[in-house]
Amino acid sequence: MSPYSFDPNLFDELEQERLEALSWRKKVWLFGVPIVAVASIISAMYFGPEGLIAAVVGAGLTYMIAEFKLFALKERMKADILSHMAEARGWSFNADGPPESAVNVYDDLGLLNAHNELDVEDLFEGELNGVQFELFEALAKMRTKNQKSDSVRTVFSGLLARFSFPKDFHGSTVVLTDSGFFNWAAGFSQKGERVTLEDPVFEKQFQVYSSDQVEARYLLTPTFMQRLLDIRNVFPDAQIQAAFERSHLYLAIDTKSSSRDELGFFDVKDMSQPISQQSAIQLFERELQVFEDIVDGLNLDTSTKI
Amino acid sequence: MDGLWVFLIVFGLVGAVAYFLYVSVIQKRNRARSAFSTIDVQLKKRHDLIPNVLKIAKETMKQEMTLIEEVTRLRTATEAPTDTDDPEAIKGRLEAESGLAQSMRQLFAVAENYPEPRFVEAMQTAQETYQEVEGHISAARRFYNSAVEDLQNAVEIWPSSTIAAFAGVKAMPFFEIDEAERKPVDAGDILSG
Repeated sequence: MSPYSFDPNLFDELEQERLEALSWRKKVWLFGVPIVAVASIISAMYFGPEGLIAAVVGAGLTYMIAEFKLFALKERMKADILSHMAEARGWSFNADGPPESAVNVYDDLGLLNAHNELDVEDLFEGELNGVQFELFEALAKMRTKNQKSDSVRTVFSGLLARFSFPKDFHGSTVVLTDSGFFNWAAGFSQKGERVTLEDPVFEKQFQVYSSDQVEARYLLTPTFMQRLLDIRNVFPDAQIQAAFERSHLYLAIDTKSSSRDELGFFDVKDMSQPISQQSAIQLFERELQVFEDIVDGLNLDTSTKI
Repeated sequence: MDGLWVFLIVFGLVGAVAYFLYVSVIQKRNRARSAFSTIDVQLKKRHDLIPNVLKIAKETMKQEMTLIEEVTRLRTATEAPTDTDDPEAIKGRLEAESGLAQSMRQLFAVAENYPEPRFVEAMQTAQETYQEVEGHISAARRFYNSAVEDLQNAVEIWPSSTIAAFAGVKAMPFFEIDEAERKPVDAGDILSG
């Protein structure tokens, strides 16, 4: 796959807006900080220590007014760059992500743990080496409330992908990360039977459940098991799970970060750089290449079907 | 009286353990038999494909009649039903199937060297279908071997080995791939031979 070639004039308008937003931020800080400081002193003189609350509120407001243009631009910049990168590859891109119902199949297959909050974005769709795919970012959280406290736990944070699969199959086969002693717990929530495969390295990393023992082995050939193990080298700290159902391969790569900002995928991190020198462009390109490497590694287009 | 109770409890526990081991051994044997039936179904698909392949081959590969006859002979030999209670019968059947697979691979390898494009194209189409079936046979073979391994452990490891001996449960043979089958077929060797 040829790397994305960047037209320096493509983002001129955005670059102008970036410069304006930076200038706006500078002005707000220049005037806002002295105003807030004076207001805080006067407030403290009149209301005592309680008056400092006004200082905190004022500082917060100044920050929001100074940054809101850059925040909005950051999202547009990301969407524009990714759209162009997707277009260059013949794919489509939607910054809002798929409808939340697109995650249902991952829930049903047990690739995502129970959650009651979901955020999806950055949907790529297209064809790569003859393989139809859909890729998007997801952040799933479980919020639990009781009388004493309100806690939020991130259950999934990473990439969800769906690929067309070249083999004919009718059942459902799920490849979960091995949980050691707690594998029995995963077994309870899975519909199929545990499949023990002959590769000890694969068995150490994953646990497989399937509605059909033979079909599971038809899909998970020794070569394909090795390909799944190889993906782990691309994301050494991530939890990788997969499932085969309804002529598709589903992949869930959980990077285990706890917030959208920590996801690490497709985010513009530094707005002080000109767009033409944005490290984000190289970063996005690298991230898309990692995805292409995964598809290459899985060799889903193979005509030998192994 | 206390001694009688102790005896009854110990006897009951031993009986319960023996029963669960018996159930486990029989389940493993049945699973291995069921896995063999799955292989049988897939092998039947291969057998059904062979006449069509041979029909294409006979028209063009006149110099390879020995190989074609060998495939026909092996196919006929593997058609007979196999007694799943007899490990030796299963072993014989699986060896014959391995021989048939090897002969088919030789046939396809030799066919690639023929100059007639229509013949090569027809054989390639046949080979694609054949390989799809081979993929299913390979999956069934792996499932069968996994079931046989479980059964073998139960038959060979005490205390279930004692129960298996009492119940007359025997280990079943693995469906192994021959060394020759693992190697790529060299059509040059076959043609020069």
